[in-house]
Amino acid sequence: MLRFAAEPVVSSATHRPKRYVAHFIMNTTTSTTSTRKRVLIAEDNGVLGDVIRFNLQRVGLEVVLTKNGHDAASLLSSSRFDVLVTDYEMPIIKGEELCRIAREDLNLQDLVIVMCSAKGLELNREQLKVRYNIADVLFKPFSVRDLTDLVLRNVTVPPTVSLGIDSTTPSIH
Amino acid sequence: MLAWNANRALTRRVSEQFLLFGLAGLFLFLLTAIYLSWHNQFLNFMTAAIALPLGLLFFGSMTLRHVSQCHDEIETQLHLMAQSPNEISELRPIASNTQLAKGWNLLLEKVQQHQAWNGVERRLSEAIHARQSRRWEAIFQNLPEGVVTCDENGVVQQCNRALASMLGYPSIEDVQGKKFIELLDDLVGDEARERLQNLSVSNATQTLELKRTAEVSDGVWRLSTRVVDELNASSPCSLWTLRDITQTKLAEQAREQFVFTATHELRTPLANIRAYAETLATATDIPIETQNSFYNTINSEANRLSRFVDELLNVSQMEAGAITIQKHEVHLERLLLEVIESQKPLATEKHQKFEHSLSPKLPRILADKDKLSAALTNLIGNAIKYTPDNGRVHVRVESDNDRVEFHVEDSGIGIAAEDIPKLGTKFFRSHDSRVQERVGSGLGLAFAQEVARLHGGAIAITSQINQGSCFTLELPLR
Repeated sequence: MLRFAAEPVVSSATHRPKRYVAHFIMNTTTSTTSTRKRVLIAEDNGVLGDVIRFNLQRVGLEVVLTKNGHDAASLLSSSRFDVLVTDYEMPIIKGEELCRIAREDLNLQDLVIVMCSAKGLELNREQLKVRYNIADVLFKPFSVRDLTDLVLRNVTVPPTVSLGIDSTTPSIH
Repeated sequence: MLAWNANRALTRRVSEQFLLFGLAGLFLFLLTAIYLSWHNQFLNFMTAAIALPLGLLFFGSMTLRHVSQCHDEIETQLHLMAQSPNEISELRPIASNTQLAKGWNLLLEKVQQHQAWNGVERRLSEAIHARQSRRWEAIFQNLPEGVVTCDENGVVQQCNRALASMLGYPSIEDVQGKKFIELLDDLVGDEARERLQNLSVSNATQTLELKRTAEVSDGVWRLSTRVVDELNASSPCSLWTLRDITQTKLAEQAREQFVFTATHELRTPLANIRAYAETLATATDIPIETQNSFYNTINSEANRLSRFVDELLNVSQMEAGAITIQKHEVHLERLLLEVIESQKPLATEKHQKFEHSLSPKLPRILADKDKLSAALTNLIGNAIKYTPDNGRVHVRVESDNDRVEFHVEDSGIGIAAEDIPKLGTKFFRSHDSRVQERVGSGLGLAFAQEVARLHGGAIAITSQINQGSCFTLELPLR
């Protein structure tokens, strides 16, 4: 089966990978793909990450937790995820940059993205939602139940229809 | 009355003398007439009758003249005075020994003295005035603000040294005669340049803030301008002041940064508390151990929030310069263990080796328990924060008869030598990216230093970049 593999192209000035280039490699072994939906959480607040993971696992989702944008980007490029829950302020690669990498560099247009942030009104919520096709931006402190419901809503509907049906995205109108 | 008496005296004297001579003459005439008529010499008598009175009149007027000579002179001089009141120097003393002359001369002397005094007063006031002008000039030149006056074409007429140096010129002559806006144009950023061009000529004061470059730390000026009519009656002049507000702006920036940090630090534990509480409330099938760990998490997050609120209050007190300490006897070992316990979870989360060694008999000291506790919390918290995962933090307390020392050592990212002196400054945070990526207010250490100072002690810092640091809080024992 085809696998995505991504190589970070490291620019000499910083240690941060600037772009992720996706290319295909043939894999001779067949791997059993899980039928469960997979969620990647990128949250540097360990305590919060744990409780989100706990809640999402309880509703039957497979959850992987990372603490920064860099690890999240690597994981996104090496395995399949259905949902990305990301914080805004994170070390190394921030939430917005991670969204850009996912949508533009890795071309993961089916990925459901939910963003959390402690920044509140300083963030331009609408602009972010439209630009990166984010399902929603939640402001901390938020309700974990709302987050769980939001994720479930977006993954149980077939991917081709789900993005855009959500009443909060403007494309319907 | 006196004048009339004096006049009467004069006329009386005159008439008396005149009369005397008249009578004497008449007597002589009579004698001569009798003698001549006795000798039957009528012609001689007629000659005598004419010559005698004439002679007498002549002689009389000579005497009169002598008598009223002084008075005449005074009269002349007074007439002169009336005609030209300002020519006091025209008056002359009378050379005579009479009382009248003496009186007049004295009067004249007094008048001349008065004149002289007036002259002195005038010169004195001119000198004082000139000195004041020089003072104003000196004040103008020494003002810390740059001040400049321009004519209607915007050309510099007068300016002070501060302005010349702000614009980068060695002396005020280099600035005079040039167009002020052009001089400014070269020194400010593009955005500021645009706003400069839009300044209009008006009697109201206009103020602009100009940034030298995009960075606030490179310099920000406040320019204010106003048209002033009093400087020159014929054409309007404009008065400009230029003030360096870089420090103010930097402080503003630092405060904004602090507010941002505070908001984040408040929201994070709140988010955690809410998430766990909600989970516990809605999920019915959580295993007991998990439930307990959730409850503990809520507890510790609440503590974290509470500590941060305390820190905020301390900080605002410090900002207001209002920190006070109330000393009571403090059990050092207990206090230290409390602080260490409260900080332990943070170290555990980062898998750090968190150790402490307290010397066996720690003295009881007189100190403010809460403030001291907060200061130590800051130092230990910083050590944990700026040490990466798997690092080491060691708290060591030693004492002797004179003082007690709290050493907080870490194997963390260390501090650059040039940053060490700046560390106590409020809001200062190193530009090292490893510091910037960690949340911090830049106030914790300033607070701890203030607490140390109020106790009569101090904080000493040693550090090696990339290797670790040691912060020592020293308190004197009474």
